[in-house]
Amino acid sequence: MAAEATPLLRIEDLEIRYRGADREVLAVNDVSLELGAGECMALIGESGCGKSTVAMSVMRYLGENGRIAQGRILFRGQDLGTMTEADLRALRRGGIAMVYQDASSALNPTMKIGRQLAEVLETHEHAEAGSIAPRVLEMLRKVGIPDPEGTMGRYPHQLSGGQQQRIVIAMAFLAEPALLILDEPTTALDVTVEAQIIELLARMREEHGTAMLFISHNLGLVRRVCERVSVMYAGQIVERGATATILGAPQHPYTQGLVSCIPRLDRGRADYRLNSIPGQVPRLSSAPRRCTFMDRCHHAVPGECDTRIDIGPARSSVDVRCARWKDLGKDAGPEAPAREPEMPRHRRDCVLSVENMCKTYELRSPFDLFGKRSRQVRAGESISIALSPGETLGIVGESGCGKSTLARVIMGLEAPSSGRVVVLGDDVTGKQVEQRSREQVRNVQMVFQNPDSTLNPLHTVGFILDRAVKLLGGVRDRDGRRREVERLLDLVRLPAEVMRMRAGRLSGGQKQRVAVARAFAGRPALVVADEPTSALDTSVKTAILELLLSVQKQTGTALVFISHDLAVVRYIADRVCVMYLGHVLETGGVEEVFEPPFHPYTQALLDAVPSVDQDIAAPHRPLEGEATSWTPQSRGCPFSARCESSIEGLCDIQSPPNLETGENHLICCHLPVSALGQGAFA
Amino acid sequence: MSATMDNEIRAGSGSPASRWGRALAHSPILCVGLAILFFWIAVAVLAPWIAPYAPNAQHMTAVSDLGPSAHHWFGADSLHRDILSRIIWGARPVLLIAPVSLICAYVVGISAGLAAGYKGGWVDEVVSRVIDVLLSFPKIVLYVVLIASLGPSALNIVLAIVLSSSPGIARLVRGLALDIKTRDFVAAARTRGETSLYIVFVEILPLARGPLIVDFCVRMGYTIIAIGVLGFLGLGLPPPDPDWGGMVRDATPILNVYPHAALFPSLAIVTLVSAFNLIADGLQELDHGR
Repeated sequence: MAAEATPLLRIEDLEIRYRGADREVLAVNDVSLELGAGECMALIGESGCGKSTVAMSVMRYLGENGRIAQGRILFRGQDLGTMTEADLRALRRGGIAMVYQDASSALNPTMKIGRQLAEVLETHEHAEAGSIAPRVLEMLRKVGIPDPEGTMGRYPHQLSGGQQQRIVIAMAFLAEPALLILDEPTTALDVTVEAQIIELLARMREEHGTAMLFISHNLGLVRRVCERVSVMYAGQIVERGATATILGAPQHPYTQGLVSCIPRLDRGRADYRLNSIPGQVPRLSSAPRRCTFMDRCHHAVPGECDTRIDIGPARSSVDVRCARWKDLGKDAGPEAPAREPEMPRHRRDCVLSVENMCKTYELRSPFDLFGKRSRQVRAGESISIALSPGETLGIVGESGCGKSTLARVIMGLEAPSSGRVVVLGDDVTGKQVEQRSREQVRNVQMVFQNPDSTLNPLHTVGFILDRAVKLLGGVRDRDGRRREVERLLDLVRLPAEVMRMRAGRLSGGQKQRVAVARAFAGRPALVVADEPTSALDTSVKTAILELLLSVQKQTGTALVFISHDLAVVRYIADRVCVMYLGHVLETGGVEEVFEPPFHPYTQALLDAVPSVDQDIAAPHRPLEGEATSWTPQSRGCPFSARCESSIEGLCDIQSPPNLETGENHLICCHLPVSALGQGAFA
Repeated sequence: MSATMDNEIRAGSGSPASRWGRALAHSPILCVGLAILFFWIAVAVLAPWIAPYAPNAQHMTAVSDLGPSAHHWFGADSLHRDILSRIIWGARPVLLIAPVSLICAYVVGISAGLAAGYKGGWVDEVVSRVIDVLLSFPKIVLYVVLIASLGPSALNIVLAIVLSSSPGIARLVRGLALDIKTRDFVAAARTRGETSLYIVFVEILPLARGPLIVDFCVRMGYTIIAIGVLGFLGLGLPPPDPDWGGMVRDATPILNVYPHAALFPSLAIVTLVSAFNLIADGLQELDHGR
């Protein structure tokens, strides 16, 4: 490739520094990469490894305190660093465009969609007014917006997250860029919507011949989209090469770590074990004179790894920055701690039972003082679940399907509109948490989704846990409480020093560990975990999953694990409940749900998840449309509007029956069992 | 892991003194504001020793000419009292009444705002309507009606300021509480069985302190102006005790001959008010810089 004409993008020995409060931080160092026209390369790695910084430096958006200390970024052979503002503006047209993670903040909330898109053409081409609108319409059609004419006149907040991201992509492609930088474009989206966006990007790339720099920590996605991948760690590229080779047989211990901490969709918990990478990404202030990954690497050998290590060719078309890559195969793998034997379950009593729970939200217009014209939106429609001690129930579904509402109803943070909630034999229906007895409160605890809001940032970890131990554990004396706090920190594998730290200063993973410790402080019978890992990095996610599993083993607590990540649910859950718009569509043991026969929706969800093992060429048809809210007027199967096997005159009128396809395995569908699984999606 | 943890602990530590030192170094505005404030506090505390004369003493040295002279640097007022001494002594009531009344207003405003924001429902409805009613009165009318009916005294000034400031404070606190109560740690506290009082004062209020401290400084400026206005209207401290606003009022009949009699007390009010405004700006700047 080097022999060919100038590559589209060429980064040479890039070093980027940020001015911090008291010292300079080396965000990127010794990064070189090349991207040819029409190529697609992925940058992967944990957060804080410099992926986004590289992307920002290509856009020249480093901000006031960042600077390129060394190296050059060449776009079509021109040095971006020496360009003037006017040159850069010219470059945006037909040059480089970017798609960000958060589409809602990339769009101007006060401008109609049509206007925002037209602006791109006006500034770049000074096109005359007449020709703009048709081109914008055509682009909207291309990116798959259902009603392009109507959408032109809408504001961004009137569109769903997936549609907003489509608009952002349309905006980027209107400028006809030769290089498109995508910074985690689908992280905020549901799996089915993510699959649609990825499909769209692949199609647009084919049509426009655009090169892409794709930043992501979702390796399955990278496998599906990109031909080449560069793995970044602590500001350096540690391994690069063809995607299939690198993800299939990683050479660098860090890449191996990344690959081994992805939960698998196609295998159950009994068949493999997730390994998290211990430790954290270091923050460097000067160029490292040794392997940056050494502290977290179990292959590290003093003497070999503590010299400056350059990236060099390892195998065909794979470069690796590791002194010992040749010898890694000879080392024994990390010693996997022996798995605790599965505890025998006592199926006789029931920790939690939810029967026909229904939750209706009244939407009141602000101009309607007396609530007469209120509209109802249902978050939960006759949900029934049951849970035995020590069991883990995974609840999956897209956002807006009522998963979190169910959690809040169980916790007593919200009251159900109808139905029954029974915890440990006590009927707590309609009892807000304040009205529950101390024992009922102690027995049901929750782990929240967002690590940044789960702990009060001003309180110290010691105070937070002390409070939990005092109220939930019922330990009164000071020394006893302190011992208990230490025990809890040990349980979640945090050093005792964190006790004095304010929660605001912890990393996301540490915060979530403290949250787990807090939830388990009173030895509860049931813990509800609402997407506890969705905001975390892959390796941290794995660590928290392992932690939850091991703490649960030790305490015999029942767990309700809510997630939109099917692979995670497959790994952690004993039983799974698939929810859609407040309805339970399928429920059963984890192996039964993840193997045919499937509910059409379960199958669509499974199909949407990109797998690390799957080749780019694998056939794939994403589920179309998005989940809309369910109103009481709706009849029939809630999924019928999006279901490919929907039978007209039946599915959209009559509620589907519960098909019993195995012991405790229920599928709520009109189709005969024989048609499920081999059906329309495969 | 433990190595990085140690680093984090060290980075996170730092005594309050060193944190203040860094804050001051980053914000010259804050430095200037604090310097002026400390100057006035020192003046108020040291009044008996630095004031050249007793505040209410009349001087034969200022009979023929009230203007500034070697005996009376800032001149004298129409009753031949030394203006410098009266300004120095006058710093005391201002620097006492303003913070005391504002703290009282904050106690009332924070309680009402937290109750309305956290509890919601009819509590919120009642508190919000009361706030609306109180805020719809022009402040000056509120002062005049209250003090004219109760009579001028330090206590009634405090009362007037509490009544006029607390609705605004309550509205601010309510908004902050509405935002903070949606965070997960509040839900976690509820599912732990904490009382509403604990949640409101230990979980919610500390997080609102940033905006509240800035608001306090801004309101200090307004309160000092309000005390000056009350003095000017004759509703301030009863004579003969020195009061900056009252001094400006006493100077109005002789203003075209002796402007100094109004100028110096006005300058005193201006500097003290700007000190608090500068502190508020400085704190806000630091907050945004973070």
